[in-house]
Amino acid sequence: MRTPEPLTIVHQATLQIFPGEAVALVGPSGAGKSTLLALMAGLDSPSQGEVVLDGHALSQLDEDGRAAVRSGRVGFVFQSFQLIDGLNALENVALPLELTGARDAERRAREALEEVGLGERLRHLPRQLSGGEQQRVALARAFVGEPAVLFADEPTGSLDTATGEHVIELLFRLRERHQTTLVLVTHDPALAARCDRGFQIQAGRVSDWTPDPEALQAHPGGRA
Amino acid sequence: MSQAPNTAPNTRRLAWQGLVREVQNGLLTPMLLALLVAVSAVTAVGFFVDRVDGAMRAQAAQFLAADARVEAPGPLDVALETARELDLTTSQQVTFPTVVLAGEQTLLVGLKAVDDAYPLRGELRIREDGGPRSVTHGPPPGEAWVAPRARLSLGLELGDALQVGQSELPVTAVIEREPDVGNVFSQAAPRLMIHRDDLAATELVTDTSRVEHALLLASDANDRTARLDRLAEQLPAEYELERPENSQPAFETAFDRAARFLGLASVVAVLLAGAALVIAARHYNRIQQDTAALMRALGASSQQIGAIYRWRLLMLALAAAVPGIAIGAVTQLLLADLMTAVLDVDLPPPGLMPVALGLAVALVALFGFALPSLIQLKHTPPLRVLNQRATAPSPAASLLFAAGLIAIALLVWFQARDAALALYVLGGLAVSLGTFLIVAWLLVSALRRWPARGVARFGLARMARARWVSATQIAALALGVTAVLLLSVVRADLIEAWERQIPTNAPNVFAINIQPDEVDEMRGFLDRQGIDDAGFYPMIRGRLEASNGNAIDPDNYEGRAHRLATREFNLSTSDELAADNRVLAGTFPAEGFSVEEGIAETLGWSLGDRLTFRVDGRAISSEITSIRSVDWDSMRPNFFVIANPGLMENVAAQYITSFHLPEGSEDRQVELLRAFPTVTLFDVSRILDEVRTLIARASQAVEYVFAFTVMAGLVVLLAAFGASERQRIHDAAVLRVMGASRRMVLSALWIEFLVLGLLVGLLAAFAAMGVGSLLSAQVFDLPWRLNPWLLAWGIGAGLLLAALITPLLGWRMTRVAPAKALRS
Repeated sequence: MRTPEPLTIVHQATLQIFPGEAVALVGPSGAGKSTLLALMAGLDSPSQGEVVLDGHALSQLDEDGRAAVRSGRVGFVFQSFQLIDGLNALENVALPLELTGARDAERRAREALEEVGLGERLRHLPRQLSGGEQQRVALARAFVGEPAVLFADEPTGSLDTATGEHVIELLFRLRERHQTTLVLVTHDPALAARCDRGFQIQAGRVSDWTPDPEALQAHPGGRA
Repeated sequence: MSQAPNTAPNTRRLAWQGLVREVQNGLLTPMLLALLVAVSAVTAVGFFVDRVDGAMRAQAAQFLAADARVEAPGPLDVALETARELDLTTSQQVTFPTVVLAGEQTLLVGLKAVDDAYPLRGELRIREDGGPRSVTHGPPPGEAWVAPRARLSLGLELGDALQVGQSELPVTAVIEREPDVGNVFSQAAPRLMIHRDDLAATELVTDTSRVEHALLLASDANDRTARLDRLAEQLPAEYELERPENSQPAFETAFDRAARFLGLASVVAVLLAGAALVIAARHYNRIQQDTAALMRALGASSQQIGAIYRWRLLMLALAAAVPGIAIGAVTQLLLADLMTAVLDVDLPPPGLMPVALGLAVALVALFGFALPSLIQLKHTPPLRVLNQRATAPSPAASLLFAAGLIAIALLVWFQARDAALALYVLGGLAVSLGTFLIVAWLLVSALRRWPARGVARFGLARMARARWVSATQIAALALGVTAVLLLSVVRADLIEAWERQIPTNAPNVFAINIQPDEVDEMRGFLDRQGIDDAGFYPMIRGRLEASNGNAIDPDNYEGRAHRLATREFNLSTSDELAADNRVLAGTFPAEGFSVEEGIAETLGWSLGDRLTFRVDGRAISSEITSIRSVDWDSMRPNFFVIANPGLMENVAAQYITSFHLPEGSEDRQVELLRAFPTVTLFDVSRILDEVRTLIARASQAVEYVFAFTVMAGLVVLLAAFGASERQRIHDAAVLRVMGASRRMVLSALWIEFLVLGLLVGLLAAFAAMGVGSLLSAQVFDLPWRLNPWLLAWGIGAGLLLAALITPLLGWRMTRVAPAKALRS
């Protein structure tokens, strides 16, 4: 069997994100946005270069070391929600706390769910919730551990416009309240424009991004 | 650096949470069911065999009338003293042949004088004026009890006087059942039982009399076995200690065979459950990768993930073991109920060993078959949360193989109680599975070239597309069907063969002391009565005098060997090998002596050794030229030593035969005895009946346990199709979106499963034929005929499988709208 040629997804990206900033990564599908996010979050390792997350040089660490850095410091929101089917809303939200050995996981998870307006849905399984509700559970899970950094990968990609807007409002409100650094992957310029700064990825190359007023007018709601 | 938080309690909670939810949503159902079936099967059989073992030992003790029995040609003072030191209950008895007188009639009887303590175990059944009753004592002083044959021969009525030596004792009861009847051939005449206190007055026993002294021993102490072992160590060599284990070989053999059948049925159930676990665990691994990746992304270490799944498996093992053991306990009640009618004693309560065994099976099965697949979840790349193509590395084939093999070996060893059975089952399964895989792969490969069109092409395409997946599925199912065929069709054949071993018309009466000139007359007598004899064999008494030229010194032998070396042998001559004998070494007819393998082993004889017997005052010497195995269950006359007829010319011989008499023909026995007054008859019908009932009940018990095997087969099915269900639903949705009708999808499914069922059935039938013949010949020691119907049964089972699965799977594949199926 022939081994396929190695494919470079992200070339020579140098970017620095400061605590409390909201940064957008924009670009078309397949440009490498999610790959860059994975590298920044320590979910993947770059073939060359270094990622420093919250003071930790990730390439010096093995998989478990990177997991330890993420533990309690990093939150995630995914396009496909990534809730565990077998766990109810409360258990899903408590999961990151349970993994750090927290003893008050349930109380804090309940508060987080109340914060996203799902205080009445604690015992519902993911399949018993709408898409919007599932993403709100995911938001509660992302913020419950008071993370320093939140990585959000197309958080509205699976939602309709109205629900998506509602989720984004909630995301930014929570980030504001918790003073969390946000790295947001999106192909929606309007949504990206809500962030403090932006980077564009085109064919794996990263450059600064500034919002285009015309594009923003075309999508005033922040959804493509 | 701050101390790392203790995550262990949360790890266990997460393991438990996932377990509960995954059982609720059905993800763990196949694994749970597989474990439940395995544990239930093992504990049911374990409890049952444990209890029947205990009851058999108790019953065997009844056959000895004690927990142990010491015999010696002289007084037993040493044994008695040791027994008292060990605080054992004792009863002394003396037996010897003597002639008694009733009016004008005389009869050779086997006199047994017992004390007040007799019997220490079991009971006697006697018939008095008031009718039959069971008693736990022998005759009181001043009375005599006689066997029915003695009463008939002497024409005695209850109350009649019997002259025993110098005493006259009234006959007050007829002994219908005597617990320690002993070896029928050592009891050369019908029983006369008197009290030991009356013995002196008879003046029959003098210092030079050849009497046999026996000391019965019993103890209710918990360390009874240890005490008896200590006694055995302290006994002089000329004393022989008999323990219950070797008192009823026919019964033991029958139950041992039944236990093997049961063990085999449960082993197969457990191994099938193991196959289901392997399939289900791989499926579970695929499903759990998303969860593991998410936990990794959220900061869980690989150790934490590993711990969560290990804990979950442990909890699953316990969750299955507790109800599994309960089901096993209930099932053994049903099984035990079958046996109560066969055994004279109450079944003892089961011990705790089967509970431990049930737990061990759950743990070994789960950790051996499922853990290797799940342990790799800890290496799931966290990147999978963003990219589904990032997967956990597949478990190393060597790890899967080694863990599975160790688990199988342990499970078979737990259950089979028999190294040979374990070896044959393991070997049979390994060879079958390997053959199934290769043949299935070849057949599926051939399907690729099959010029199918239309719906058939869709149906066969799925099988041909993933050749190894299809071959594995066919092999797993074929293994399941093989097990079911083996334990249904082959089981029936084996049980039939087993029952043929002791047919309803097996000889149940032995006749000895037949004079040479009576042989033809007696043969004619039996012929006229319509009774088939088992042949007349000369029986010559001979004492072993020398071995390889060295005189036999009894002090050089211990226990049974000592007894054999000091007593007279029953030798015979023949130049024709009996059907129930098999030559193991050398040739037959023997030029010299042909000896039975057991006695050769006990006395250390081998081919070429020169033996000298003293017969009729003459020394007869020759080499051992053959060693035979003897089927002692055949109830035909058999001999430890058979000499070439030429060696025993002009030697006085008496003859022995055996024949079958229907139930209730005591009058025919009397008629025979009147015609041949010197002949002695032994009725062994009671033991035969008990063995026969045991076989019938045990085969019923096997049927019950077989239900577990069928259930395990169904769990394999559930696991195999549960694993591919999601993909099938998705594929069906795609086909329907592309315009295929519901009917078309279902037709394709039917074609796929009919072909699969046919292949599975064919493979299973051939495997069942091979493994069946191997098991019957090598493990159960039974003749086995090839059943041509196996092929039809196999194909039928395969097609039935298709008929069961297809509608169910078809319904699940087409009940969801294609759009919804694709979205989910």
